[in-house]
Amino acid sequence: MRKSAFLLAPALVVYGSLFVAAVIYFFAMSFWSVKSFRIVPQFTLANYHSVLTVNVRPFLITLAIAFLVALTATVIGFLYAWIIRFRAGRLGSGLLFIALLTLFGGYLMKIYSWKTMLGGNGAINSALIALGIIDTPIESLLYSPFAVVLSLSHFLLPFTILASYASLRGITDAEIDSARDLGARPGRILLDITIPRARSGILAGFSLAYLISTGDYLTAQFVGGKLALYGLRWS
Amino acid sequence: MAASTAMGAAAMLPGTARAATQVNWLGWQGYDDPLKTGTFLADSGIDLAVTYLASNDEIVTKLAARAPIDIVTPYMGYVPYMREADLIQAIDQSKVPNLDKVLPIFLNDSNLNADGKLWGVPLSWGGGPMVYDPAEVEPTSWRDLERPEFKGKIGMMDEALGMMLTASIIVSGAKVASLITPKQLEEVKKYLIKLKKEHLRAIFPTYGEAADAMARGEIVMTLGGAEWLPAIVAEKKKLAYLYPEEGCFAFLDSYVIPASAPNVDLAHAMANHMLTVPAQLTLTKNNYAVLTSDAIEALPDDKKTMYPYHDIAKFQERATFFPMTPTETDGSIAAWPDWLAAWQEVLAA
Repeated sequence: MRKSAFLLAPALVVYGSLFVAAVIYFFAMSFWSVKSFRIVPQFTLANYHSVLTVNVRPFLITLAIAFLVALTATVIGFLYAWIIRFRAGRLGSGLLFIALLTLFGGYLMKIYSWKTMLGGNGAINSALIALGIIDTPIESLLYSPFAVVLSLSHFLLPFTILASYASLRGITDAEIDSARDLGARPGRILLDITIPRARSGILAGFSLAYLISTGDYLTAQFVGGKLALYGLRWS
Repeated sequence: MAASTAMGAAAMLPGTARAATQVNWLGWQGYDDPLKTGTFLADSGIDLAVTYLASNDEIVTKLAARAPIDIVTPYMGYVPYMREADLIQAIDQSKVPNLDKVLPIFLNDSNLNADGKLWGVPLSWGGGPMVYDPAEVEPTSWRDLERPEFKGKIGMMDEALGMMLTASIIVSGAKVASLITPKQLEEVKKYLIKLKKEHLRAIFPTYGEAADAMARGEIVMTLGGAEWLPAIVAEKKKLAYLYPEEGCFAFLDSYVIPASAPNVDLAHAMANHMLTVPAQLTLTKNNYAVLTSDAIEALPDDKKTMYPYHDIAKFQERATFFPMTPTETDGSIAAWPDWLAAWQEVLAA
């Protein structure tokens, strides 16, 4: 017991000094005031008042946007992973590689790509006009919540694909075959076997996408127009 | 000019075989470029240590902590505050002979001058004009932003001081737009929220993003802007800028010497060198404006029209170097934290 405590001590010191102490310090600072551009230890609740009044709306919008992003990325990511695992056969590895390859593209690169495609003169509006589906560009594609959800979902897709695929790999063909032999239709197999068995991966992917989205503010700055996200306000 | 600089530096630091002195410079990126022209640093025995700024507040914080910094480059509005807080020292003008070449509009700015002394050496300047697409609109007033046919075609920047000052010029009716009452600040906030909800397409993180959006036809006018925006998208689209009839804010960045500067003579030598023609011209690489008469004469053709060098009088008539909003007040004037709080409400609305 003493030996294990001794061995843990360095980690506890590092964790305590670099994380716990820092968090306590920041918590204390949240009650301090700003005077002449400096943070001074003068007690105030003004910071919390601001958070709980002015910033409630951006906070709720942020949670809603993050939920939509996480849901979109998780659903598409799961479907993609399902195709890799059960339908793509030999092409599965290639599809997985393509998904991972997008991680090399960089975060800002994706944002700029969508900005170019969603604009009034962008590829999507131009294609829709060329096909005769619309007469004038849809302006709400860019500088809108839609653009933020789309850009962030695209960025987070590889993470949800990987998480779902890791869980789906644990499902054996025998389980699926048994269900099918017993008369279960594809939809029933998906709902009763595949999704429950991949639950941990789906939840991990969703959580990852949700947490990253709530803290993101760059995407909203570049394609969100006048959307007020919480991270942006405190960046 | 370069010769006089070298002579000045040599006089201050006699001898040529000396170890370089570390001189700490804290300022906006690009404002250090003038110091790197020619052999000035080597000749003066300066080992330049550069730190770039993220905000003007950072200067105040570091100087208040008595950090060993020799030169800072604040927005002129911060200079009176730093002077009153004894954070900076007056410029010894005999050590900066090139000041004679600085245009009077900049040299005589009231923010830089007090108690018969100069507290900063002017470095670069600009205004907060409206940038617009001349193929779509020929505005004359900030009120053109509210024209119904341009709903959803207006842009502004995520920059508290510039946007709030411009809005204050438009609606507060105050003689000095940066010194307004809490009631006037409320009017400014309401105006910006209304503009945002009813007319704005986007709040851009940078001026470059706004220019790019205008080049792509997403917006046609901006609340605030910069003179160099049309130039950076000139290959994509022809844009223009104007100082609207209500006026706009202007900025004048300068080299300022902290009260606790360890190398005062070298700091003066750097300020003097920064005003030489080659040094000033390096500012134009980043689209900054020059401010000495001989540097203006030496500008290449493509840079001559970027700023209103040909009509400084018009600039002076329309653009104002406002003093910074005070950080603390007796309540009759809205303080800077009140402005920031109002800006947060605008962004959150």
